[in-house]
Amino acid sequence: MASVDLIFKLAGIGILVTVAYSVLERLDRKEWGQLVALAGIAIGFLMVLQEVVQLFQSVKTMFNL
Amino acid sequence: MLALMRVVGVGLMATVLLLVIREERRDLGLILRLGAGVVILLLLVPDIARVVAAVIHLSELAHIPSLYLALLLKVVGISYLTVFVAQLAQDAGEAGTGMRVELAGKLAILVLAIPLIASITETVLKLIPS
Repeated sequence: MASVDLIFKLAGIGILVTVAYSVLERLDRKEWGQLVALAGIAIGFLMVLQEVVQLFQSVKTMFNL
Repeated sequence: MLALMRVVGVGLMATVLLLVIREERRDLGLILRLGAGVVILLLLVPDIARVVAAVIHLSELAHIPSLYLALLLKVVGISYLTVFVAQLAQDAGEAGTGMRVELAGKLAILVLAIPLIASITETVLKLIPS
């Protein structure tokens, strides 16, 4: 199931970003950490948005909206 | 039945993963929650389509005008989407945004119902002898 993989991908991005953020914070590069967090959020949101569009399309066709 | 097991598994998985992520980063937790909600609703789509087809078949048997049924389905679809988004906003602590989305959904349903209300009013007015 491609759509179930999405949850694992999002969780992986979340854990990776958290680790990168804490490492960069320890190295006194807090602004880079913020950028990494922002990039992670943007990538995750883009991945989710594709599925959201699919859901909206299927609801639209199903209920003749 | 298969869809139900999948939904249960996805819900369990998403809950555990959210517990890990939400403590550290609330923003990514929100995106993960949105993803889980979308995935679960997408898994439910085939079952809903089957139910809708059955309802349409039953209404054809009962000779209900398809106009009314299409309206009913539209209302169900609007509430499905608006409740999804409003619930997500409420989970994120943005209850005001969620309420506004719900208001927009109610307004859309009311706009759809206006022709029906008008026709009912006209029928009632015809029945009343002036």
